[in-house]
Amino acid sequence: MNRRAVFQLVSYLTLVIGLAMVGCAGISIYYAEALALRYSFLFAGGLAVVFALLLSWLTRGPVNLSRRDGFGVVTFGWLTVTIFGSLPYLFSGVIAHPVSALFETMSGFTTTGASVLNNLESLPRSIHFWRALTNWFGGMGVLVLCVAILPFLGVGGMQIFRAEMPGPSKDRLTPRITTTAKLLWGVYLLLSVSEAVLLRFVGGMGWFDAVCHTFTTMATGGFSTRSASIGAFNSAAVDWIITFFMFLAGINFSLHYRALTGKPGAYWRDAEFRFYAILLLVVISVITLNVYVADLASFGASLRQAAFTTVSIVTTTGFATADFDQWPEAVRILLVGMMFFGGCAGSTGGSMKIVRVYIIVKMMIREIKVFMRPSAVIQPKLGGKPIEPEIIAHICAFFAIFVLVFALGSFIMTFFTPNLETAATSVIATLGNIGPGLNAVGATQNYAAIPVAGQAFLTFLMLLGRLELYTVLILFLPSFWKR
Amino acid sequence: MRIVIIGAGNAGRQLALRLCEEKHSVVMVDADANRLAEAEAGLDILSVCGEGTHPTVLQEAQVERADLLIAVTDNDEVNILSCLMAHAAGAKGKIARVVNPAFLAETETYDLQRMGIDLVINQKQECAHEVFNMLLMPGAHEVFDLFDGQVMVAGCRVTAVSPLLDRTPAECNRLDLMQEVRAIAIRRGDELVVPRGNTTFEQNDLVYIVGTREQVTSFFTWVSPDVKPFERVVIGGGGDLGLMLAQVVEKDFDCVLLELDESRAVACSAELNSTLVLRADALTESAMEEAGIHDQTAFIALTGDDENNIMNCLLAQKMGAAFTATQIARTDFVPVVEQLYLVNRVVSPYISTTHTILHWLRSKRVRAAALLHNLPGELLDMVVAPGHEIDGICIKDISLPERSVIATVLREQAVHTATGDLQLLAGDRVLVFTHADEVGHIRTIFQ
Repeated sequence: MNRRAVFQLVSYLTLVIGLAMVGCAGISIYYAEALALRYSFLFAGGLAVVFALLLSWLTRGPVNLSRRDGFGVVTFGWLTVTIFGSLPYLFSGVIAHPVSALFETMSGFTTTGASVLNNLESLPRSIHFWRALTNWFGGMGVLVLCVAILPFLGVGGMQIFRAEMPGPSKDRLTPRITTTAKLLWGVYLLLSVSEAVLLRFVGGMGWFDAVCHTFTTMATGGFSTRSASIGAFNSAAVDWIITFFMFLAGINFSLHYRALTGKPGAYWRDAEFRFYAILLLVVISVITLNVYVADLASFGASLRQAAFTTVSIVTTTGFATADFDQWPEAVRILLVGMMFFGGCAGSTGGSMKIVRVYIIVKMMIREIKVFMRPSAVIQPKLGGKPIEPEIIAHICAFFAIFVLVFALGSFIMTFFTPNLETAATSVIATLGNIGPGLNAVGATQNYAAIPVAGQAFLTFLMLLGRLELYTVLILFLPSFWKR
Repeated sequence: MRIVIIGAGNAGRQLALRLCEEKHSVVMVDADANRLAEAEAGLDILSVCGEGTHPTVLQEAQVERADLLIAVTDNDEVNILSCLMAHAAGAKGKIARVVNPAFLAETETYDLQRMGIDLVINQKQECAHEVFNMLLMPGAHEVFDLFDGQVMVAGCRVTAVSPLLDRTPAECNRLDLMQEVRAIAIRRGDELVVPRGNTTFEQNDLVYIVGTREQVTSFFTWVSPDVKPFERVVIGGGGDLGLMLAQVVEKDFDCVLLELDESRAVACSAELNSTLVLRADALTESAMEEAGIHDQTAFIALTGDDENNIMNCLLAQKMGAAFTATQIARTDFVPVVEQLYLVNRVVSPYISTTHTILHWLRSKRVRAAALLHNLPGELLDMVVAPGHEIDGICIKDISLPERSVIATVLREQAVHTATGDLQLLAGDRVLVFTHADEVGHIRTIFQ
């Protein structure tokens, strides 16, 4: 591993985050908050900036990254920004324990949206803004942002992009990776602006709430400024706007780009999108009927809650309008199942990704067919093209590791949680970057009650899930560290 | 620029690498998915898998939006057809690599350039020409000519016995020569130095000089008196390249061609006039003896096999050849062979192709005459416009940027040495060497 180049890039990343924290001090000044709060942001930001400048000076020189280094940059970059990003919580005294602060920050950057904070309404606005901002940065990827704005990365940029951008298919919009990264961030910004404007003027939210919730929706993060999440606003318009934008955030962003450049047909031609849309429709219908039959709400309200909750869970956002923990058992287990799906590849959503599930389903069908006719040659296809055997093997291994981590993680979490349901759902909710689980970590609960050791483990799972297992796991291979 | 490269072979990859470095958008097309994946792993490119002549593939690569299409597959027909299709689609520039001389025959009706292919590269001919230049000027490191051969640029390594060593240009004992040819650049390690009157030449400097062919030749006979001009050129391998080289050099040198295959040897001798064709294995001492290698012999190994070529050169060196050069096809071998000083020079057709294309590209953009292979500098060909403020001004009175120098002046087909007192006149073509960063600055001075 080329440590000098890796840490040089980590330093730029820290610089971006440091400047963002200094910006939060500006928010604090604007809302005339306590002096201590301004200083905690300024101090945290300043520390990050000084660290970044020092590190970049120590590691100065040309950057030349191999594939292996790309993974190093991403994992170390994420760890570093999480450590610095947790400082405002600690300095301002909002969170007392360092591990809890790391949990909250990692939850922000990985767009999980799980929180250790009680009584969100009492928090200062600058802290809310910082939480939302960590979500937003993490959604499209801080490193993808760096690839977009650092002109000298070249081939290195591609290695980083590969390691950070979720999903198995890395379709590029343009030949140069910097341009692709710029376009993706452009689409992200455009959608964010539209949502904020809609929430403000159609949803009737204040600007502050509108911006914070936009950040956390587009990133499929799920941090809210209210303890009761979106339910606190009690507005059909807000619910439907956010449902719609969560749905958009769960779609491959290159499809958005194609649609925006005059090819709206690109959506339906994409096999993954079709699977995603149909899956959502089916699950929403089932849940709506279940909730309505169980006599929990009127049909209209059932549909609204079911749509919101399903999209929120499948896209791994984790907002809530209703306490789905109180819903029928069938719906609860269905929602847990949905947690494994996640958004489309190339979206801001987490978990396993729709395309992987889709390919695994195709593989299963193929295996069953081949079992019947052993000499049949059947190639599973995606969008009319045969899927390469290596990609299939890769996805099967991914699925196996994902399930294994889930099983092992659930076992470990039983030591820290009151019951099995909480243990298992806390693992999938963090590994899949969703946020709320069931029972003691349900929609109206949070992770404050989990012991520090448990929080540390869940923090690790969030990173593992966001960077799609391999990027983090290869760091555990001894050969990675050898020259 | 948006550039589509058809063919992910050696030349395609080498080109993509250089073009990526210059921040162009590169799309690469190849039918072989494995080769493409290999290329994509190390390059910031978009890859499209498929035949470079299929409409769907060309559409996916968005050839219609391309500023340049470069077809460098192993197949001439594919290259030509891709370019013709790109021409029909509206791609701006088209470059094809064509190996078979039959396609290059000069006929009015079927001229490839008239069909819309802007540059047709016969890489073997380019390569043979490069080797020929090398042979004419033993001791020169890199030679190429400009203005249809009127001006030559050559790189000269300062050795421990060089008369240039530890002297400034004014201290040299052949002032007349130093005033005629102009040292325009020095590569010192990885650094570019533009020499001034007080610059001292150090050992291992690579000094680039500009002058007429005669001036440069006499410069080299002075700088490296121990290097005698070659009398005999022995070529190992009678393939296309070997044959082409023999055709080029047989007029100026005593040429021997070694070819093992009988029918190929017969075919070669039919094409050649004064060359002695030997049907023998260049890897045997007896064959080398028969070829008559002595201390004024240059040996060029051009069999299709890299390992054999290197061994051939080593054997020739042992037999006393003054100079050895080998063709290397595998890019990975080039730095190894160069660093171990196994041979004097590495010849590589696809590297010649890359250079030709890059030269062409540069010249489109900045009217540059050439680009030095290993230097971050460019030679710009500027014309003095009538009535412009520099019309009638002496060279010493022009304030050029620091890392730039006027190399030579071409006036009415005659080359004038760019001394400080030379007055520039309207219509003069001025060759300026400058660091790549200063190109814009130079243009503002002349335009």
